[in-house]
Amino acid sequence: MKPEFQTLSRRLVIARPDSSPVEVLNTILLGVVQHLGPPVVGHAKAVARVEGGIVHASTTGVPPVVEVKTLNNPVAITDCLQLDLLCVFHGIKYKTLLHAWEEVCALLTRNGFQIDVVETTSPPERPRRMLSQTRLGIALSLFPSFVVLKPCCFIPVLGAVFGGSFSLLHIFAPLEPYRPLFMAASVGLLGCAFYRLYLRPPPFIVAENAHSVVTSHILFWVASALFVIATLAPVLFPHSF
Amino acid sequence: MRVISVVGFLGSGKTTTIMALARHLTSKGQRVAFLVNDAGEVQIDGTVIRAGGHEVVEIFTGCLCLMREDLYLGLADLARIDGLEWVIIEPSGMADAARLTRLLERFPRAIDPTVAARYRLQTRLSLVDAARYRLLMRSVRQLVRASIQVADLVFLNKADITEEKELSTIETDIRALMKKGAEIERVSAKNGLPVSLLDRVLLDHEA
Repeated sequence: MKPEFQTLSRRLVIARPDSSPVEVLNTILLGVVQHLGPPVVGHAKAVARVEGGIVHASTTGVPPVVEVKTLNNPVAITDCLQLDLLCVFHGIKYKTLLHAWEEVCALLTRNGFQIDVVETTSPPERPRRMLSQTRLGIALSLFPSFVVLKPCCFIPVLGAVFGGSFSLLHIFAPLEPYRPLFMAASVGLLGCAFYRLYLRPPPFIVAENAHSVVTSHILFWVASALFVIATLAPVLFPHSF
Repeated sequence: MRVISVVGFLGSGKTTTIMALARHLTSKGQRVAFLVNDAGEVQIDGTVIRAGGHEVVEIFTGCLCLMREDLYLGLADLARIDGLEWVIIEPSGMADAARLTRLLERFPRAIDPTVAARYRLQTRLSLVDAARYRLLMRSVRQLVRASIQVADLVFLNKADITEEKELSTIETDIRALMKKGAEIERVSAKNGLPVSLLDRVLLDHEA
């Protein structure tokens, strides 16, 4: 399977008397990349809001250092900091990334920090898997279309155009009485595909999946057109049915 | 409204560079705003830029290079700000630079002519991480190549931690991918970018 990007984001409040935001950021970011193991492709970054300003940091793990910067005049020592964390890595499993984060949390807890997760993002979306499922749904929605197209004089015409494979449609003839059920299933599958592609697309589709997105849209509209033709076939070609 | 797009893979130094650009523009008395797109629901770059006192439009919904409507609405909103001279666009490090550049080039045709008249895509700046160049070319080759191919100016970043021999080889590789007339510079964004280089980013590369 082609490697994908995995993201993990957290919004936290981390508390311990007299702690240094720089030290906390270092521990978290280096901890994540070290637990993932080299060489990792991606980066981890975080921003801590403390009294007086912000401290932000990032690392790619290559070299194994964290770059820490400050904006305005954040205090060097604090009892509590609000922290946003974002890790994006390529070619690893989400479980691996989550495990790395859990290891870092355990380390911080052992060191006396109290961690409150204010907001955690939804489980990882897997754009490629979602698109594959959507395309499978679209393909399955075509099945009822073939069921309604009983072998008849209309089929040989299609066979002549598309290379004769339509003769296989004879095998669907016994399913004809169940046509309404298949039609309903088809509408359901196309509806799901429409929902996934247009109403609720994956919240973060990485650029490398762009071609898959375009292909899925084309497939959806081709399947929808075929479904409409198959549904209207008895009306459009009454002599063939 | 002059637009600079800053592309590059995750961790290549985009945010450090755009913060340096923002400071440089502000020191010249010019107004700058940002359009940023982080790779998750938590927007780190937006927070950092806002803390620096700049205006930011953040896109949360997905990769900027695929979110045509959001990108165009964001740009149109910025174009309506009176006195705004510069917009710096920072897509996520996972963005397809070629796709994003096409969208930015087509923006004037898709928008109200009065807004379009104010818009000029002036510089496409690409950040390449010299320290991880080989690793990235093995795993995310397409993304790195695209970011180099669209650029008017390539900053070969982290030159301070990369051996001279390796830098020369990488530079030769990159030059072979760059479009005609594009330039490449070795930099270390974290150690500061020279004013002369920042001024080169601000030059009109479309002219």
